[in-house]
Amino acid sequence: MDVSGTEQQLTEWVQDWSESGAPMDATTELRHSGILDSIGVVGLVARIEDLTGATFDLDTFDFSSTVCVRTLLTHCLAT
Amino acid sequence: MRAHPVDPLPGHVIVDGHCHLASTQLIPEELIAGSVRNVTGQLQVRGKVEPTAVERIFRRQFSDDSADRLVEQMDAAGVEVAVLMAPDFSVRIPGSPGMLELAATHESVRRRHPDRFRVFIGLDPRSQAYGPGDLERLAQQHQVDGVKLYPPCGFSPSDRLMYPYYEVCSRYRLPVLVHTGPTSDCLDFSWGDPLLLGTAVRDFPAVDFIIGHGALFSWDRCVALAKERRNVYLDTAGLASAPGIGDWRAHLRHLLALGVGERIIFGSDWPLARTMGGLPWLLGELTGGADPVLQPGPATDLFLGGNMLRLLPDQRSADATNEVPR
Repeated sequence: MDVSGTEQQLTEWVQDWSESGAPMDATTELRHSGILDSIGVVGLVARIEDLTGATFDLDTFDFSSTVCVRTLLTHCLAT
Repeated sequence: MRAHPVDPLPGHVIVDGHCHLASTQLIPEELIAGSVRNVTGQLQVRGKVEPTAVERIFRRQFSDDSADRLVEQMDAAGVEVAVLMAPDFSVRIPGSPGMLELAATHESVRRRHPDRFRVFIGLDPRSQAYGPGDLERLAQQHQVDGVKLYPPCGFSPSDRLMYPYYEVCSRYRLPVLVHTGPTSDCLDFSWGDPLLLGTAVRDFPAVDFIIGHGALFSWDRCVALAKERRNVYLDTAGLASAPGIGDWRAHLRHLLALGVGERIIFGSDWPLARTMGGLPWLLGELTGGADPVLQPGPATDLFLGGNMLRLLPDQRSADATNEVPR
């Protein structure tokens, strides 16, 4: 799959959701910056699953690391 | 005190005052479907997601039947004790577990994880399957530490049917946590008004009432009630993941500065916010980082544990009780 293109789609999804207009990319931390609330994270994970056809494993994702489009997508593709 | 990998407040006990056993065995399908509709609706307002995807993720969060995952979260976040809320939907949604079944399930979890959980048992005063005598027996057997009410099932917390139960609570010093605010769309939100507590808190001054989600919904009414009645508390369950609250960190700082800090109880509403990183993330936001919501000191100790500890039945003589006149 085109990972780079998928990252771009997801980043646009987040920008559209946050409506903040702040510049961001696939490595922007989504929680600390307040870009996504919990509903937004659910929506983003759902979108990742829809685009990849893979399942996001909540139990094994390392939430202590950066939560961004890239880490979420990478985790989903690896499981 | 247990040694934790993370200890945000060394030497102090952190109590999560409002958690749930994240199990689809305890939550009726109708309720899950309604909650999924709530979340999906918020996402679809912006045209964002398919309902089936939300349902998949939602159900995944409710797969911790024995609370092993929750204990991992508690350990990682430095939470010593969590209070499990066990709402009873059995009258409104027949077939779902009632007070006695909920007590048995939660007792088995408590035995699996000794000293980690306290239980507020759910009841519906209209149920014919049990009565105040059963609550008394559970209290005598130390299987319950409080009562959880879910008025959106269709009753008022000040309904006279509740009074025999409140007599038991008064006798055994069981606090009562009452859900307020919105919930699954299959239930009636009109019973979620915190002011419905008004008569009960007046008539039972020896019973401590905790307004569940009082820091979020109608919070100004909840603060007013807490100022008027010394047996009224409110909790923060769901605050960090509530849509429409704006900056929850600023909101919490504001609440804690309103003169009722000794009546506000920390609660996560686990498994809510699991997709944000759960308890480690939440405690990190509250106490860690460059700009923590809370500053070290007695007020923070009370909020993160002391306030709840002094309400629990066998903790009345704990140090925290002596810090704040009641």
